[in-house]
Amino acid sequence: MFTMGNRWAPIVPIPPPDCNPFLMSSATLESPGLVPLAGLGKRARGTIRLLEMAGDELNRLAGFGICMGRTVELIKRGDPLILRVYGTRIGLSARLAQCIHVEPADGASPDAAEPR
Amino acid sequence: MTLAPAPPDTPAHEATRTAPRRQTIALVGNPNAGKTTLFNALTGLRAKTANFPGTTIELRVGALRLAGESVRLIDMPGLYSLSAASSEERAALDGLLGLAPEHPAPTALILLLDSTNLERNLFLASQVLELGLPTVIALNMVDLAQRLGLRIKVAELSRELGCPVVPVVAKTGRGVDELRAELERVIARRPDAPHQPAAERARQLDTQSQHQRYDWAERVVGRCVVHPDRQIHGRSEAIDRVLTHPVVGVVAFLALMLGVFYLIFSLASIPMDLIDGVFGWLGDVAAGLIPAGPLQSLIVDGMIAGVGGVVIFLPQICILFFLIALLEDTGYLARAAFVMDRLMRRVGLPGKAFVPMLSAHACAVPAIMATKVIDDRRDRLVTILVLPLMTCSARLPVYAMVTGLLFPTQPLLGAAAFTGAYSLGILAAISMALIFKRTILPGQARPLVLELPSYKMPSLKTAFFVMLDRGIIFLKKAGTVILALSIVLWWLANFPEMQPGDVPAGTAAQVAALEAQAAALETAGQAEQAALAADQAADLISQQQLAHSFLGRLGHLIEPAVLPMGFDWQLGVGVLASFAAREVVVSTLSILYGLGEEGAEGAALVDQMRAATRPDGSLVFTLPVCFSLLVFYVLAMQCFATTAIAAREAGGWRWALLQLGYMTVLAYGAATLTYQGLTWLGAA
Repeated sequence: MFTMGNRWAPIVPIPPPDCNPFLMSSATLESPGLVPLAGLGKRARGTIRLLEMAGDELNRLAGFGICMGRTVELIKRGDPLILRVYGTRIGLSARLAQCIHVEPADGASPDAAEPR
Repeated sequence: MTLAPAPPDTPAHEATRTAPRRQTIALVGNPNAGKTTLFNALTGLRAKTANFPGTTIELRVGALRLAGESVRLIDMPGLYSLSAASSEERAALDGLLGLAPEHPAPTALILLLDSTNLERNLFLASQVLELGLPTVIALNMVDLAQRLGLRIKVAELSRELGCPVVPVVAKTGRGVDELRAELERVIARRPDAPHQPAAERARQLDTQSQHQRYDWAERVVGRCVVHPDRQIHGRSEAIDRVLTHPVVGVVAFLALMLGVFYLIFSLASIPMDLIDGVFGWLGDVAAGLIPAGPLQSLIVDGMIAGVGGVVIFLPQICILFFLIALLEDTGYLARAAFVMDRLMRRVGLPGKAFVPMLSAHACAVPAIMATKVIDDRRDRLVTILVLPLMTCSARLPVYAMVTGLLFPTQPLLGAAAFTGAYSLGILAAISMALIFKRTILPGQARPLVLELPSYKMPSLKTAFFVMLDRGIIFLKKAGTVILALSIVLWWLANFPEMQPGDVPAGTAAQVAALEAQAAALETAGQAEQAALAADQAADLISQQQLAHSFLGRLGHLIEPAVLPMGFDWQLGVGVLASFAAREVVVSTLSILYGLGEEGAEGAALVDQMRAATRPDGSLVFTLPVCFSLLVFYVLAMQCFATTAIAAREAGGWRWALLQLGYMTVLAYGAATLTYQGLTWLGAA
């Protein structure tokens, strides 16, 4: 389903609807520097590198612009949180945000990343 | 990514074109891209709303004149992506886009793109263009894009996408004529061979990965749009800092809804009185035209009164829809769903279920129609199932009657009983939602993802059309069912006709005495008192007629069943009669207690009911009976209009009947428990 040209590409598993903690930790270990979306600082930007969710949810989020390789900005933390994606603001439940991992953009401190 | 080229321009085809079938154009686009506004600008007032056959997906269909030909324009539901559709949406989309073999493909598509947010809109565009249908792109809100400093190279974009692109401002109508001209050109060169089935193209939809589509969209935008140096974030964000705040946002929302309810109840009373008056006048006119007899009774008491009793709720329904449509158009409803999501999820429902839940406190019918916004089918079904437990305005006359019976001189206790009834409804709805979510419709509420569109001035015209649409659906769906049910109930209440021999001897003597008294008073010149005595005689006769009728016999028949709730046969008749509309129980009881229909208006009914006794001489309306009656009417699904609408919105009578069944069982059980419990406490 994915071309291998993108170095982040081959890691979209089809896990159960909720985040699988095992998958999450292993994936995060494999790709150091990734932060769950909710862990971004306020007003920080990051590029989506990993979405751990079932195909249905992937399709739904993609329609909103929440998709591999897109850069998003966290506008408001909390549950639900607000993102800016391509100039529009999207409200997103924290449960889904937990399953989305981003690479913080330059300047954004990754210190909010979960402890190893 | 390769995109389908437009069909070749072959004028030869035009000559041979035979078009017995009416041409169809489908309008596709993101939600909030201005689809409805463009649809209205293209079709004017001639739109109809209908569900796609076999689904609950609602479509608006209008007529569009192109080159002297009337073309169907279908407004599809707003979509972010073709591949994210639910199975139901999928069925409708396949049918509309010509992906299913049994449905013909549309002649052409209008693909609406929001020019202020091209990247995301192009994601849907990449999927739609792959269908290979003749497509015209309408680039909406170019005025706003200009103000934001975006410069869009339209010719370049048209080349990239392989189809004509027309800049429009749907709100003002700018560019709509050019769009028509472009559509005429596309339709004129329609090849007369049937369109290549798009089915195999559809299969490709999922083969392109989503991020590749976005990569493509970004490339296209990079080539066709010049961005300003600095991005402007409008006022919307500042407003949202307040309205999406977890505390302030909820308070603001509740205050706003309070205002909406105030408007519903204050504004609706005028047209409601008017409708009441019109139906009363119609009844009088009909009574004057038709000679007295069964036919007059059928038309006046059965049809006119029955339909009038439901149409009276039309103003509330219309005002509620108008206000909700206005709020939705401003973009506010997305914020309401956003702030309520966390609270609602504890009940297993999404934030979008909250506005319907509140609306149900005016009337369950518009509330059920408003559940369309809920994305997930299970979430939507659960919401529909529990909505009628909320106290709607038709229950108020019943609550007023019972609290009047219970606490005639203690307004504070009366208010407490009222509040208790409201709370019981809400509590029951929450509990039932939790139960449904754990049993027949399992699963947590679908996690929230929703766009918070920029705030804008709402369009009165759009809101008016929404209101008109909903009002017509209500009249069609509820009106026909209620008319049929009114006739059945009328027949049950009036047949078999009472013969002079059927009147019990005691009553006959009473009637004869009253009539003699009336005659005597008449000759003595006391016309007023004579009329009073005659009325009393007539009320006694209608009381006997109802007791003698099938409905009265049914009441006796079900008496053993309603006995555990503490009801006697008269209350049983009241319960049966109020299946058309809850408030009917008040007028039915009024007749059964010998006050005539007019008795329901005043305090006389409550006095009469309080004095009513059982054959053994004990009072009928004891405290346990009153509370049991109240609980029953809070929980029972006694509204056929709601059942008819629930069947439409849930996609089948199955769900509507389940709703009727579970609510009846719940009401019966809770009322029995109340009566038995209170009786036991009283005896202990």
